[in-house]
Amino acid sequence: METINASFIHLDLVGVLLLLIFGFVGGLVSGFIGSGGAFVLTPAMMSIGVPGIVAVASNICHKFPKALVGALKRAKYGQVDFKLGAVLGVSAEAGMLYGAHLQESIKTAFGHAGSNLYVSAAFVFVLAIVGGFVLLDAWKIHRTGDYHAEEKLTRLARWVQALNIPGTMIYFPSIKTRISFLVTIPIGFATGMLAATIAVGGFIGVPAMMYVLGVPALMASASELAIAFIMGVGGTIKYGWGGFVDIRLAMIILAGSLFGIQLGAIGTTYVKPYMVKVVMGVIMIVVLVSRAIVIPVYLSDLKLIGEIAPETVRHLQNLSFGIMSLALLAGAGIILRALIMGMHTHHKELAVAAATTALAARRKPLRLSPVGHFDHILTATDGSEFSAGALRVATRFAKRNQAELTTMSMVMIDLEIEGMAAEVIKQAEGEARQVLAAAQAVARAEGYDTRIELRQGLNAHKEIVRLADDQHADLIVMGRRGRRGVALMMVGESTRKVIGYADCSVLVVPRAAGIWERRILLATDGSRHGEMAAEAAGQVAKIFGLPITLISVLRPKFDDQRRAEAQLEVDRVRDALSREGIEVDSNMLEGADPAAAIVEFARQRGADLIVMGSHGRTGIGRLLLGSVSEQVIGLATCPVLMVKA
Amino acid sequence: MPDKRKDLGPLLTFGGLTAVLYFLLFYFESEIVELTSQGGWTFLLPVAVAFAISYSHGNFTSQFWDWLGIKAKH
Repeated sequence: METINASFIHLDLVGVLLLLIFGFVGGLVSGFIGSGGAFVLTPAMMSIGVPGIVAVASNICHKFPKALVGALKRAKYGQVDFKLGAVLGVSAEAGMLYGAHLQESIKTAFGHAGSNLYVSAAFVFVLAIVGGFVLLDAWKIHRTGDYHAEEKLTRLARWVQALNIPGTMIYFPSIKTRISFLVTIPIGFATGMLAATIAVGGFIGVPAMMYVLGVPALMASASELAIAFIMGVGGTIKYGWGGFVDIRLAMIILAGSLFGIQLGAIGTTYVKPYMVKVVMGVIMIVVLVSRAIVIPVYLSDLKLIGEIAPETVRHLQNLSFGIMSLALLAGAGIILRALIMGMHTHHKELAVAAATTALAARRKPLRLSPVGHFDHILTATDGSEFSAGALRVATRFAKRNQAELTTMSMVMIDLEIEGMAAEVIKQAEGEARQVLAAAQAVARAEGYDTRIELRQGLNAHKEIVRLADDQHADLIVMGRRGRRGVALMMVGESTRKVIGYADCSVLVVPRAAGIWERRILLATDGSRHGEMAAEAAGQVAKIFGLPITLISVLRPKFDDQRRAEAQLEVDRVRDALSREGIEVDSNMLEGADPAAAIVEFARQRGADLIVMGSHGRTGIGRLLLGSVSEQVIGLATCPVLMVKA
Repeated sequence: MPDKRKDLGPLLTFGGLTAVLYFLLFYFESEIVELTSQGGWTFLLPVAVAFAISYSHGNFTSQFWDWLGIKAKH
């Protein structure tokens, strides 16, 4: 391809499409094998004519924002040792700057041919070692069938951890011991140097952390993301300063790789562990061969060997490109096949389970109006102190009404960046199952049982609403976030969205609140939603044998007609509840701040449940609860039942 | 299965934003290439573009697979 200037290639449609495909497959492979896709992407870019230094620079640039996102996400699982990341990152930064300087010097002295030879030779050398080890490892796992070999501390790591050089020791939380920074400096420097040379520093960083320092595998790969970010910023500035970052290439590859990386990460959960290593090792070796084939061309350009005929040069370049494409297509084929077949089988199993649940739901008698019925209660827990109150109240409510109780927890899955998907998911699932087991123990301690459900997804609120829909739940019981400072008025993002999106009623329970035992406060605004709330409040009052205090808050700006209408509505609701045999008293309050008035009145009357109607909003309005409802939920010390019309 | 249209909002927002960012990148392709190949302080441009597109496109792809219902085995 012709060049626009010394470094950047001209991009036509074919070039863009090829880069997109390379990006997608590179992402697929890197998500699948849990390693940076740059070991595929850099050679792929070079094989369509991008100079080595530009390929490396552009890859480093497209990677570091992803590394930041990945590091922050993995930090949520407590897998990132930021101190180790920072200490290694500083020396890696030095290695990166030195490596980039070396690249630029080679390019200046020997031109693009020299730079291409340097990058290609580094690839052949590194991929031969790493690819060989990976295949050996795959063979061992396959032979012994030991998929879950426990990580053992290597002899080297034990020696490093025992080493004590006064004045150089630093404590690292991931290893729970002190290590001399004289050991970490060479590791960081080599990682940075390799990243500047082939855009993949993790080939040194991750194994060195595991085998030399004794960092657990999950933490090593997560902390590497922090290092990659630090190195990426330095590398991008260094290469960008020299004018070697082709942002178009980086962004087209990013477009493809972001789609691929998540599919690849999901794919790992459907295949046997040795398969992941086989794919990784085979791709590495094929990429190595593809790079090795063109080395004579660069040697000839540099006049280090005899001149090669132009025809032969073209053949070698085409062969290199063909082998590279074949490797990527084969890798993508294996991963996609594993994913499709695995998902097909898995979905069949899930469909059988869902059909059983649906059949059970159909066998129950049909209710024409679900409002005010609480036959199936769903509660969501994340194991935090905030959901403890919700779990307690949901269990007691279900027990009192002999309702079906389901407790759900979820695993947040968003693997757009990092690999080791299977391990990350396994760990997160393990923690979620522990939370559910603890929830079941709480329910049993109350003398009731709960079905448990584990869901995975991107957003908690979506999964909660989906499960409520699937199970025809009548009520979702959720916790409420903190009550200090700014959080005082915050309902909690997930709770707010569940109220907005759910088709059934939602009960919001503050951390310290218990089941209601004294009085129900029903706040009505004279709308249809208020009538639904009255019906639900009446049902709860009958189940628990409690009186209801009915209130309507008049704002000072209301005219006489509006006040008369409000009074009429309150009288109607009071009469309807009285006819049901419920003890009820009605009150008209005056106040510019209805939420504060409702909560204060509930406190004065000793009410320990507030019931309100919720506007079934659509579109953007779903995300905005009525401001009064949200404030009541935020201010109340007792549970608040939001009844959906 | 709940109505998938409910989840389309964030998907389309990030998808639209990503499309606009890519359109701008290639609409001003020659200017950007010219500027960034000069080196020096122009390195800030690729860094800013990388952050903006990573954020927008990353969110879009996550929502996309979630919307299609492709999830890890559990």
